[in-house]
Amino acid sequence: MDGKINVSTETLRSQWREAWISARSVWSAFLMLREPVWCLTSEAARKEGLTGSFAMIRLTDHRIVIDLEKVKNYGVGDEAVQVLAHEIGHHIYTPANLRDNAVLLGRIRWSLADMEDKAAFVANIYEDLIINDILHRSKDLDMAIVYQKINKDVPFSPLWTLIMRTYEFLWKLKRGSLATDLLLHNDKIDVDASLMASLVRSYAKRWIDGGGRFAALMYPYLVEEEAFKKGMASMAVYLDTEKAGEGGGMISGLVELDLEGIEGAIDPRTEATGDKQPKNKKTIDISASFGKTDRGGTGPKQRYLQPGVYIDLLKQVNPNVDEQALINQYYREIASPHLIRFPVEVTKSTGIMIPEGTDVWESGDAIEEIDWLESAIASPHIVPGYSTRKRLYGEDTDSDQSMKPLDVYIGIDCSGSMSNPRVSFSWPVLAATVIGLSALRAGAKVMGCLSGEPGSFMETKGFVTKEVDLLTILTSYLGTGYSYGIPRLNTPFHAPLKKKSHVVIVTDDDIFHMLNAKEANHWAIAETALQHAGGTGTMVLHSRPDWNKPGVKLLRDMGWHIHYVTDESSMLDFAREFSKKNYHKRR
Amino acid sequence: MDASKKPTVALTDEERFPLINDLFYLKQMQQDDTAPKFNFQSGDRLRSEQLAHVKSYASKIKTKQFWNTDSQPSWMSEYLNWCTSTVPFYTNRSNVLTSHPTIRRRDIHDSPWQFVSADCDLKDLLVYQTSGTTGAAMDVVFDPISQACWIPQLESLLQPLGIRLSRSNRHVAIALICDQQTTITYASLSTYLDGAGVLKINLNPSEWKRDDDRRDFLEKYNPEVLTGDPFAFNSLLALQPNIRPKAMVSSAMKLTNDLRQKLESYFDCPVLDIYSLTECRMVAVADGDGRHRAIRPELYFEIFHPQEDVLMPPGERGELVITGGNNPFLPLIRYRTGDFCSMTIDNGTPYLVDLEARLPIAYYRSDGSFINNIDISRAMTDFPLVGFSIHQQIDKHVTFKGWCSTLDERMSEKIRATLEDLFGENISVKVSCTRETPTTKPVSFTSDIG
Amino acid sequence: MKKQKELFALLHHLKNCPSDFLDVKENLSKMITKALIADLFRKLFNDFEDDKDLKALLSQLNVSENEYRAIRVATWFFDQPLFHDNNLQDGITSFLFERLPLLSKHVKAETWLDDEDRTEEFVREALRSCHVLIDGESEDEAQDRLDALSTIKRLKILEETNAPLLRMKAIRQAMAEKKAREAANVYGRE
Repeated sequence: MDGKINVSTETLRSQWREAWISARSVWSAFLMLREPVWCLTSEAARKEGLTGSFAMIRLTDHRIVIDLEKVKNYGVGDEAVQVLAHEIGHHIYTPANLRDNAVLLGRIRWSLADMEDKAAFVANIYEDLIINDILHRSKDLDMAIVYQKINKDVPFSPLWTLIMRTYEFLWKLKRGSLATDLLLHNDKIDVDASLMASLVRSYAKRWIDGGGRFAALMYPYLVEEEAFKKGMASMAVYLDTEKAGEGGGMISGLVELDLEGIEGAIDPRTEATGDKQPKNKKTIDISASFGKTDRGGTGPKQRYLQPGVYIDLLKQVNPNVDEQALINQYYREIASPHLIRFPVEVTKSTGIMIPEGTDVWESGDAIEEIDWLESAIASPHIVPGYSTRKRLYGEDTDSDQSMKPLDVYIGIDCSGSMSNPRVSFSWPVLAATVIGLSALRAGAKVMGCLSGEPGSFMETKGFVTKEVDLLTILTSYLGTGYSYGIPRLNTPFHAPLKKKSHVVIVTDDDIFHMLNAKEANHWAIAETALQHAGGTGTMVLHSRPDWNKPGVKLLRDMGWHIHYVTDESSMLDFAREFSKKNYHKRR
Repeated sequence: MDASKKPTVALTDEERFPLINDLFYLKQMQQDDTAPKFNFQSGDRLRSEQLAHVKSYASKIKTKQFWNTDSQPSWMSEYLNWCTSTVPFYTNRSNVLTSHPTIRRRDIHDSPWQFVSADCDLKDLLVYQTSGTTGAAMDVVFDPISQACWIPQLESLLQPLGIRLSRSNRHVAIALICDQQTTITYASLSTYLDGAGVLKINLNPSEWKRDDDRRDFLEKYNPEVLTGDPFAFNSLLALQPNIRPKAMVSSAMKLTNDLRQKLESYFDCPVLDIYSLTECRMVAVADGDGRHRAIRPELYFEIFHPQEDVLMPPGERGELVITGGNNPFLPLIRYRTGDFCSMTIDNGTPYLVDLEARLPIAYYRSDGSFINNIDISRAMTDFPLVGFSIHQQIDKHVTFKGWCSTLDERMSEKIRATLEDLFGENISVKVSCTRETPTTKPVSFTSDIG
Repeated sequence: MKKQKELFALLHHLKNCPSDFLDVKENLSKMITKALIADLFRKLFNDFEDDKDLKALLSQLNVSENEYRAIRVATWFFDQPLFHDNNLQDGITSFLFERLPLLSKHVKAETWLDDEDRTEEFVREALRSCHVLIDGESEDEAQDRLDALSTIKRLKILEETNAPLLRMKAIRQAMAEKKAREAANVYGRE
């Protein structure tokens, strides 16, 4: 029996191989794209990561995967050119690459309040409409027949009726020629389908810009869980880009707010009624804020996405990505304009970052990181993600300590009064990142400690040199206790250090309660720690100069600097000043 | 996906307590050397006009003017008119109660927004995510006013016993006592009680710095009223704290006579067993004769046939159906509670007779320590389940059945791992998941033990 | 010449309307529109010169600029063999003087030519006024297709459904935000 199936799918494979050439020439005779991975069985397809549908694309290795067993079962063996041309469309038209894929998902998410997890599903439907309309109307391929054949096995739903009605509008087909379940037809769906059809036509060339509007049209079809599940079931066999970005690595530059995306989160239904406002005044006030409230910019100049939103977006693009890597990337990107510049005396001086060779530059990396010379040496042909190289930096291990800048210890209050830096943007964490990364750039070592005590704390294993070790601690969260725990200073500073270190503690007024606690003499710990550290000690206090004056005087007498911040954003100013003073152009 | 969806600390104390200037007592509770490791912050957010509403509600429910056997409450027709003209779910429905169909938990679960009155300002919207102890997890929407009315409702319960909550910003009025593996804990204040302390604490020792702190902290702050479920009160009793509450209020599960007597004799105060619902909070209080007395005149009761939309004849047993409430974000018209009883009216006060309340189900680890079913419900909210049933056999082994709309092979495995974590060593856990529709209640807890 | 009633041919004809029909100096707009209507009727109908009703209509014609532009597009559209039929005079008259001005309140004249769906809506509205069916289409099918495209119907439905939809989105958004933020959601809850 197995043999029989294999024979026919093998025949299919040779037919589809021939069709592959025609499908490519539909788009361009000069198109360079690797031949699809032909899977003779669904089992083999599953191993390639293809499960629900009979075809899919992978942006990571620019491949198409075809499950010929399913092709046979759905009876679309004769529609090879349409199916393959459609998949090629995903590779060269939409979403085309990891970055545009991510930007489109970001745009769509703005329109899907509380349903952001459905963005990839919505994107797939949108991309299909764009590609199919081009193929059907400009390239003369009969795409309708593919749907007619497959729909026989598809459970209809309001969502699927909407999509099929949209194709009927686009291609001027009679009612019911694709949307075959007439019981599901109604005026609302007709209106939405007609708006969707004109959207698809208008945004065919600038499809990224239409993403927000498209998602807004889809919105009511996604809200009720049961209805959505039915829609998912209808679409299951067609989903071919949902996993397109899986395994795609880190994409930089997405931390910044996509203003055009926010502006594009408009519902074409309200656009269609023009300036005429619905009667209920209250409704208008609310709609005006839809998609923008609380989800606007955060951080310096309010230019950045909330970290939770950023993480969700990037995880949607690539579910395999490590969340910790994302949150590190988030604070690193926001910190980078505020870091001290890389020391220029790269070759001669000690204790600084020097180039350590190169690595593959991938399409998600920042373009300015490409080392063109190295890339050209690697291969005469520049193929992004293959022959492109980027330069890696590492620390010079020359250990002439007298030439090195002081290390730095950064302690952060991570008690209940602090917000979680993974969920909402945190100024203390950004400030610590700026100081920490600047110090690392200058060749110093950094120890980071989060403390919310009584309760818990986390710290790096002593003074470290790797960005990732430091950022992973700084961006964690405790939310316990009420203050930074003074006893933490004992860990690095219980005895005088051989190599001196600065001490920076970011906390608030509650630190005085901690200093006064009965369990141990915390004042004494604060004093000796600073002596043992040997560098400057700074308490960055979210407080006012007129509070706790006696406590402040005691600290000052011990040699601590007190830096008051009344508004959290000024922590960044402190961090920049501190980095510049201690780590800029040090020899 | 969930990273940004779990509640996180995000407000300032000014936003939590717009009307309280003196936060000394709050800080004192939070920073006390014996304090638990509080993991959250919370406030009632009341602004002055909202506080006025809470106060006026308090005086309204004190009147205890309910309805008689053959009449409806005086507020009914105005309420129905308001619902049918401003609440999307009820528009185009009649303004006569008897022509309304009943609605179910499912209706609210599927589209909570349909129940929000057009009069509501969404700036005031708050959400409570239930863990789904007695049904699938659900979002309940409300506002600071209906939330704060919890305290007047509590007062109205205590009033017949001559107990009053004091107003001062140097004492703890209410402590919510839990004993769960994990739960949110905080120290807070009540604007309605002039800044009195409100605590939510978890007796689980891992939430405290030292075991003894649990007793020391409670003794130091000596709350006037304790609320909690029978599990928590049982653990409290075992702790033997030297505290003097004026009353204890048990909810969420049936309080056994045995435990009630033990609590009353140890704490030397009345112990009330109340019937409450997530959707509208306190409903009635047990009066000892197998009856529950109504406590809120703005809740109207009817008894319906369990399967058909038919009123039961007076005095007959059926499903309790509620109309009314004080939450403009979730006004109820003929809402099926899923609980069963009959009803009588004595001297103008309605009583729920032989109310079939949800029994506490104890699950045990191999060392004999127990697991609260809330912990199980909460752990299950991480999975896309429509419902589930869990059963513990006499040999302590556990069988779990889940219903889900999309089957994921890895899910059963993950559920099993989660349950094994909860139940600990030496207890086998069998998990099966199906795509069938559940035949019984969406969530069921059963056990052969005890 | 064959009287074509094939949809794509009609759409094609309409879309080929020269831009001169739209772009007319505003001070000449009314005059040119009237002249075009008179020309059209003279071409289509034998005894037009004696039609006093039409003369009266023309002398009273006073509409907005957008409507003049749309009417001129219509004079282009009707100028084809299919409409050389005295029986269609009432239909064409009512389309030009009643239906099209009504539609023009919601649709910019150039949209009839630029937007595919509006082009089809125009064609179908014109045919319906004339009680003419496209080849191979039943009356029900024609009506259904026009209903699906109808701007007036679409706006009516949107006006009914937009407010509840916006409110629903706003509530869901508020719920999502409150869930993500601290909310007082746990205050007083066990």
